[in-house]
Amino acid sequence: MSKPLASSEEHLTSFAQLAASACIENLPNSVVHAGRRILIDGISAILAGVGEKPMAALAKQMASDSNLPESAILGTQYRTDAAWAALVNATAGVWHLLDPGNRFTGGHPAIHAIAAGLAVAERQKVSGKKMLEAVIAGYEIGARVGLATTLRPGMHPHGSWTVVGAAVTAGLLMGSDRAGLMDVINLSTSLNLATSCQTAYEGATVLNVYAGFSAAMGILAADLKQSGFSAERDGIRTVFGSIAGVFYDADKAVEDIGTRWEIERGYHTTFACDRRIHTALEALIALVEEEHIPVENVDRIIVQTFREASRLNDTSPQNPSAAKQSIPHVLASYLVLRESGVASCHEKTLHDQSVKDLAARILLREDPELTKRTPTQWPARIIIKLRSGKDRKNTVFLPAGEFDTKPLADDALIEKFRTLTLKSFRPQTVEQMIDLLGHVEDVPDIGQFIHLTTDIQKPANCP
Amino acid sequence: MPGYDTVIQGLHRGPNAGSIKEDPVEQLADFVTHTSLSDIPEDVIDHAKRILMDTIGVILGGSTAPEASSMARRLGKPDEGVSTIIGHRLRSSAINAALVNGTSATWLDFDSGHRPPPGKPLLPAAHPPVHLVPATIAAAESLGSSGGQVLQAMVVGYDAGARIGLASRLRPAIHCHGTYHNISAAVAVAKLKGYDTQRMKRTIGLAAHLSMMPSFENAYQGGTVRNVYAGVGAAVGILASQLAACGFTPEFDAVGSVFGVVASPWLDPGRITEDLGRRYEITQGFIKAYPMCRFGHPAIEAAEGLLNRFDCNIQEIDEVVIDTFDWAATLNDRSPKKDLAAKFSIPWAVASMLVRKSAGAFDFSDEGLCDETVRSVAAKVAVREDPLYSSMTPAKRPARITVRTRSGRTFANEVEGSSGGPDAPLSVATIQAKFKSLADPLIGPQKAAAVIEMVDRFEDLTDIRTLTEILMPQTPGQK
Repeated sequence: MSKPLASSEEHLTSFAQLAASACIENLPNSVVHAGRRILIDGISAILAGVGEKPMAALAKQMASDSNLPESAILGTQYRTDAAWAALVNATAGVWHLLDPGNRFTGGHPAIHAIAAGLAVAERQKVSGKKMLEAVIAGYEIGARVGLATTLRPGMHPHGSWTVVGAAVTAGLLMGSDRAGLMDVINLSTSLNLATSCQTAYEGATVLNVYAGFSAAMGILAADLKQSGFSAERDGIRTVFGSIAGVFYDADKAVEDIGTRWEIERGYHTTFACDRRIHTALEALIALVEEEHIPVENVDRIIVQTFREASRLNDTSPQNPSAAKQSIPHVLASYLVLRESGVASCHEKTLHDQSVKDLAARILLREDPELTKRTPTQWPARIIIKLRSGKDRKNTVFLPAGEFDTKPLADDALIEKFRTLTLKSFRPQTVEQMIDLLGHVEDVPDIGQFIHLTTDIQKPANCP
Repeated sequence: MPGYDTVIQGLHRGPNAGSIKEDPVEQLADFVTHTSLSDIPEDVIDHAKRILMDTIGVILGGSTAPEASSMARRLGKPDEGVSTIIGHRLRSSAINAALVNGTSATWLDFDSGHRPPPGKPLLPAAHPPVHLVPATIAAAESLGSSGGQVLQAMVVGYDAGARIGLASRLRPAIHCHGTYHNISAAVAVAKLKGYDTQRMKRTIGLAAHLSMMPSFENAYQGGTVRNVYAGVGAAVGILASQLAACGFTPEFDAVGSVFGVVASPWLDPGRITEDLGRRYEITQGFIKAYPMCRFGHPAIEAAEGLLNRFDCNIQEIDEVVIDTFDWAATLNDRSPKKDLAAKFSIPWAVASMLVRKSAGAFDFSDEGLCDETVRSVAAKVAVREDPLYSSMTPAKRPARITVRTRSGRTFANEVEGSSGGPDAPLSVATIQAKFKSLADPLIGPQKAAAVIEMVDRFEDLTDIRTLTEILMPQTPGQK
C-alpha cells in the first residue's frame, strides 16, 4: 500500500517544527559537530573569496551606500545592512567552489544559511549557540527542499530553493516560533531567481551572486514577517512544484525528518573546482602519486565520465571561473603545476603554455554505464595515453570528502582554514578564529567572533 | 573601474559571438546608450512625465500601508542616506529606497502598466513604472541628476524591459513583477550613470540573471509579499548597475537563457529591436482609473455604465453575471478576505460599483472590505469566460454585465474595453486628479500642486532632489 501524500500542512509543519526545536541540547552530538564543520568551512571559503577584485569592489560599494552599518562584510573592514552584507558574504563564499556542498541536493545549502546567519546574528547580537542552531536548522530545511525539488532543465540551484534555508536561519534568529517560521518560509519562496547553469559553463561571475542574492532574500523574508507581510499558504509547492521546479516531492522532503540529518550527509573539499570534476582529478592524483609521469611523456588523456561531467569539456577556458568548470584545464593544471586549490584556476594558469598544450590533448567522453550510477555516484575513469604506447588507467566512483567515502578530517578542515586565511590575517588572528569556531556554542556574543574576521592584515587583491 | 570593460568584453566576445548587427541585446544597449533627450519626440516625453507623476502618486498612496511603513522604518533613518523613502520622513541607501518605494508603488494596485500593442498576444500586463521609477529616482538622488536626465533614463529604461517582455512569454504561474522590468530599472540607472554600450549590455545581462520567478498565486490569495516583487525588482536595477561597474559578468546570451529557456520558454529576438527608436514602448502604457487588476476594468466600466438605468433596490438583486475574456474570467473570487485579493476579484469590484457607485482606493481596502452589503452582492456575482470575447483580445477586451432581479427584470450593459490605455487615454486632468487624491492627504494640497507643476516642466529641473524633498509627509513626526 502506498503512503498517503504529505499534505501542504504536513510538510510545512514538519519543517517548522524541526527548525523551532533545533536546540543544541536536543540535537545529536554528531549533528552539532557537522554544524561546526560547515561553519568553519563556509567561513574559510568566504574569507578566500572576498579578496577577488570584483568582490572587493562590491564590498566597498555596498558599504559606501549604506546608512545602516549593522553587519560586517567578512574579510574587510566594511559594514552594511544585514541583507546586503549577506549578499556579499555568500557571493564570496561560493567564488572558489570551496564551500561545503551536498550531493543529494546538487547544491550548496550551507553557504546560504551561514551568510544569512552571520549577518543577522551580528545585527541581533545573539550568542554563538543560537547562531549555530539557526544555521543547522536552515541547512536542514533548505537541503530538504532542495532534494525534493526537480528544477527546470538549465537551472542552477544557487539562488533557487536555497532561499528557504536562508530564510529559516534568519527567521529563527529574529525569534520566529513554529507558526512564524511557516510564514517566513512562504514569504521566501517567491524571492527565488530564474537561474541559469550556462553561467557556470561560461564562467559568468553572476553565478556567485545567485548565492548572495538568495542569502539576502532569506533575510528580507524574515524581515517581511516582522513587518507584517503575508504570503500564500504553500509557497514551496507553488514555486518549486510548478514554477522554478517541475516537480516537488513533499514526501521525500520530510522522509526521516528528525532522524536522518542532511547536514551529516554533505561534503567538504580542498579542490577549487566544480564538484563534478573531483573524481577525475582524484583519479589523476592517485596515478601521479603512484608513479611520476612527466608531462612530456603524455600523448593524450581520455576521461570517461557521467553525462553532466562530460559537458565540462572546454579545453581553452577564457577566465578563471570558466576554468573551474573545465576538466581539461583542471587536470592539466594539476599535472603541470601540481595545483588543485585556488591557484589551479588562477588567471596566470590560463596563460601557462604547458597547461594549455596539455589541456588541448584531454578528451572527454560520456560513458553511459557511468551515467547510470548517478546521482548516487559521480564516477570518472581516466586513461593516460603515454607516448611510449602504454596506458595508465584509474577509476574513482565517488569523490573524497563525502560523509560516506573519505570525509575530510577535522584537522584537514582546520588546515584548509589556515591555508585560505593566512594571506590576509595575522597567524594569531587565524588561530583565535579557529579556536572560537571550535566551540562556537560557548561564544556569548557572535560579534566577538565577527570582529576577528574584520581584523585583516592586508586586504587581498583590494583594487 | 577603468580597464574592466575592455577585459570583460574580450572574454565574452568569443569566437562564436555575433557582431553588433546580429545581437539584438547589443543593438538595444547601443540604442539606449546613444539616445539623448533631444532624440526623443515630445509626445514620448509627455508620456514619461505622466507616468512619473502617476507613479509618485501611487507610491505616496501605498506608503501608508502598515507593512510598507514598517519596512520603511526598518531600513530608513531620518537624516542619513542618499535617497528618499517617499511618503516618510526617512532616507536610506539607493538600493533600499528603491526596495521600499517599489513595494509601496504596487500596494494599491493603482499603478500604470504596459500592454502589448494590437496584434500581439494578450498577457497579464507588465508594470514597468513600479520597477523603473523607484530605481531611477533613488539613483538620480544619489547622483544629483537633472530632470532631463531622469526623463531620458525613464524612456530608454522602459523601452528596454518592455521590449524583452514583448519578445518573451513568461510561464503562466509566474507573476511578471520582479522579472523583465528589473531590466528597465537597471538600464535607467545605468543610463543615469553614463555607461557605454558594453557596460550597458552587461548591465542588461546581469539584471536578466537577477530576474525572479515569483508566484502569481500570492496575488490570488492576497499575500502582500506580492507587493515586494516590484520593490526587489527596483533594487535589482540598482544592484545590476553596481555589479557591472564592479566587474561582474553575465552569460554572453543572458537574455536568451533567462527569457528564452528558464522563466519564459521562448524568445523571439527579432521583437527586441522591432521598430527600435521609432516606437517607444512608454507610449503603449496605460494609466489605471481603478486600483485593481487591469483585466477587471472593463467589468467595472460595464457596471458603471449600467448605473443610470439601474433603478431597483440592491436587495432586489438575484444574480449578476459578468461575461468577459479568458484572463479576466480568472478574477472570480466572490469573497475576498484581504485587500490584495479584492484587487483580483471582479465580483468585489462590480459589487462595489453597484452598491457604492465607486471603485476607488477605499473600496478595495481592508476597511472597505467590511461592508456587508457589498459582500452580499459580491457573493451573487458569477464571472464567466465568453470565448467570443477571448477571441477579440488584445485589440478589444470586452465585458458584459447582466443583472437579474427577484422580480424577473434584467439589466445588461456591454463595453469593448476600458479607459486608460493608448486607445482611450485618461485626460491630463483626470491623471492630475488621481494624483491629488493620493498625494493631498499625505503631503498636503500645496506640495501636491507643486509636484504637478514641477513634473510638467521637468526638463527644467536641475536637481531631482528639489522634487524628492517635498515628497515627505506634511507634518514632522506625523509618521
